[in-house]
Amino acid sequence: MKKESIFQIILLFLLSTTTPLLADNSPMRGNAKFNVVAAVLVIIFAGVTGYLVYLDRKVSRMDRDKDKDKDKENLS
Amino acid sequence: MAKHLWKILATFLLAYVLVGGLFVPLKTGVTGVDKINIISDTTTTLNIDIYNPGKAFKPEKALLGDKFGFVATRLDYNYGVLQANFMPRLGKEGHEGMSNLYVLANGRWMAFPSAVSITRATSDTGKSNAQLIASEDLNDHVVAFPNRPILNESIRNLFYHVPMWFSMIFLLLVSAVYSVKYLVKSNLHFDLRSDALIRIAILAGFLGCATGSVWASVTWDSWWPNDPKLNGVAIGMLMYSAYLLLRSGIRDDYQKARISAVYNLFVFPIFIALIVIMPKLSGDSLHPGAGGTVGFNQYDLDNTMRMFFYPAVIGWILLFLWVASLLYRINKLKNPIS
Repeated sequence: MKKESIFQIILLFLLSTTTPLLADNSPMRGNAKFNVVAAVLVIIFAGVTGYLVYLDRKVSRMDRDKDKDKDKENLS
Repeated sequence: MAKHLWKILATFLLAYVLVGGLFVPLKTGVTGVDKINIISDTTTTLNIDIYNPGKAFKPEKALLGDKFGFVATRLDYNYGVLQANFMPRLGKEGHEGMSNLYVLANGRWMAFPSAVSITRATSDTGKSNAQLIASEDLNDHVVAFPNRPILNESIRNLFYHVPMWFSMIFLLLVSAVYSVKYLVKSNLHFDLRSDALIRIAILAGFLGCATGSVWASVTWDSWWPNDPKLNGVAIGMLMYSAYLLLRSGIRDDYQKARISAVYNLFVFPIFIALIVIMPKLSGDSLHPGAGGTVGFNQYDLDNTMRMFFYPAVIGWILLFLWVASLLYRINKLKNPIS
């Protein structure tokens, strides 16, 4: 499965489940503080996920470099 | 790409839980009554607070009691407040004491336990006007979270607090498996994996404590209530903190790995006993499924909650496994094992 199609499925699923909920007018949603709480949670979640992805890629790169160094040592 | 699918799944599930947990509304419910004591044989008007009524809210019936109850003689509704007139007559055989309040609106019953206390008037010596309440099973199909007294909007914390503990137990179980593997094969990679899992499990435990503490302050009005489960968790966390101290005090890698593995295998069953078995054996606990309280799967968790709770458990477990795998890989790079 292509990378784009996975993200499209995820986006479609999120939109289909959340769109009916966005129309709701509950007391919690009517409170102005709700937007602040939602924004903070989204920032924290995006920050943690982004940092994990960054770290994952960095460690993978370091792993690859280490393997290359090992191969060079073995060849020499 | 395929090897990263579980990480994408973790992110996707947690994004779904975050959005759903924030945006799904709470069901309409009773959150308060203006009187705590009423006298029998006199007409009393109760002002009942209705939370999240919506525009189409239509009260049909209100009653005080349980199996036998007193039906309200008149109902008036102004947005958010339902005025109900009650004239309870206990009679000679009726019992004084706390009564539950039930409101039927739009074909759905709402309950508020121990709402008011009914005291017998001196004139109340005749026949009771309590009616046998037929149990009407009116199912509603609204996508909304249950509106439980005391919990109210804080019920959304279920998607964070409980999965943290499930994740911790799962990670500790996997680390115990790696400890066994190390003792069998003496491969230091297993020790590094076990160590990373324990450290991240401790992190999950601290997050579970923090989310639980905030929840307790909202619902039970105390940051750390005297509960056997909480005290068990505190002891368990201290035991795992001792693991970190023990590990840092040994220099030889193989000795460190062997002692850590044995300690881990020794502590894990004690930890499970402290947080699962001991609260069940104790007389009382505030947590569901412990002491005299029912498990939340029987009482609090409805299908709308399940739609988000199970993905939350899987999502958090996968996220913590991801963090643990990163820690293992970093430690492996720092301490190359020949």
